[in-house]
Amino acid sequence: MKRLLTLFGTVIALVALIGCEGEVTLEAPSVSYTVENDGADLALTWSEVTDADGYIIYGDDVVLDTVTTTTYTVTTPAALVEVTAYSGDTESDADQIDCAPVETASLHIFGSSDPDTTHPSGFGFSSSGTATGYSISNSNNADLIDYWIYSTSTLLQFVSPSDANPPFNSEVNATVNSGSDYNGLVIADAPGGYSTQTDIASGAVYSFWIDPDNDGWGDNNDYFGKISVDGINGVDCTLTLAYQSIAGLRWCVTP
Amino acid sequence: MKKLALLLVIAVAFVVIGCQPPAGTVVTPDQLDAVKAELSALKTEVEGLKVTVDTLTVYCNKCIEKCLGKGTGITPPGLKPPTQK
Repeated sequence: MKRLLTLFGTVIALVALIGCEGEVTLEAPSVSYTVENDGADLALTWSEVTDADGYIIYGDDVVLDTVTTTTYTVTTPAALVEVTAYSGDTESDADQIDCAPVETASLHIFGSSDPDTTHPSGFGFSSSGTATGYSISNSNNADLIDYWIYSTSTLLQFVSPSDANPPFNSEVNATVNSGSDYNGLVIADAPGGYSTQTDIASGAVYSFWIDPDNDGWGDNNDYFGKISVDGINGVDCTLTLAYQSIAGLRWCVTP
Repeated sequence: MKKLALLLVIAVAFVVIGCQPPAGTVVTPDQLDAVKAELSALKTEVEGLKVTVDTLTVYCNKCIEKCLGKGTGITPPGLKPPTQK
């Protein structure tokens, strides 16, 4: 009888102990990042979260990895990177990094040989990443031009503003042909194959690299993205553009 | 005959009277010189105004170009050699 009482008491005590334990509440990690590996990788860092067993890293809602450290380098391009903390079955809210490029669709840019000088032959990106066409005949637009289209009767080219004679501005921006699959191009080409003058073909997709200082890849004021040439009618080129707002990052994942 | 002569004299008299300039319309050389001087001053003034209007026109055109965003043409005549990077 004594043994039975002891057993009963132990069970009661255990149940009470487990039942009295409060539910674990986890704070979301506060994540900061740097761009590495010539813009191919996103290195994440966060502070340790109290009571966390580890951390889960997501790329576009897919688990990329589960770690117990407070750093992680994402090497798979994604439009949205998230980090959560977990403890047992409990998972915190996510801290998100928006890596989706800003898209501008159906932008009409005309080759420089277009007789109507009010037509935009140049285009540039705003600080928010939206592309706008600019007439290259208007000197007020000179500083806004990131690229322009040079044309002859047989040729269309994406050209850096620095390559105009006289130049529109000093930015040495470059492009490279990256195939023909716009959504399939999830990361702009690595530095090394770019040119400040690239022939344009209908249906082709181009990586672009805005390098104002012409100092090679950097994560301070270099920007990357992609351009799809949706159609060409004479010197009228219809473009879709995706601009990565995170300086130095070459990811350009579009839906 | 006498009457005819009298008529002739009267006719000549009318002609002489008719040819006289009306009182007050005679211009003296001094007055003419004064008018000439005044005209010259006016001419100088008009030339000055023309210069002012031309200056204003240039200024206004610049303002209009600035407001409408029409700068001077900078269509590039060609391309510099490309850069590979």
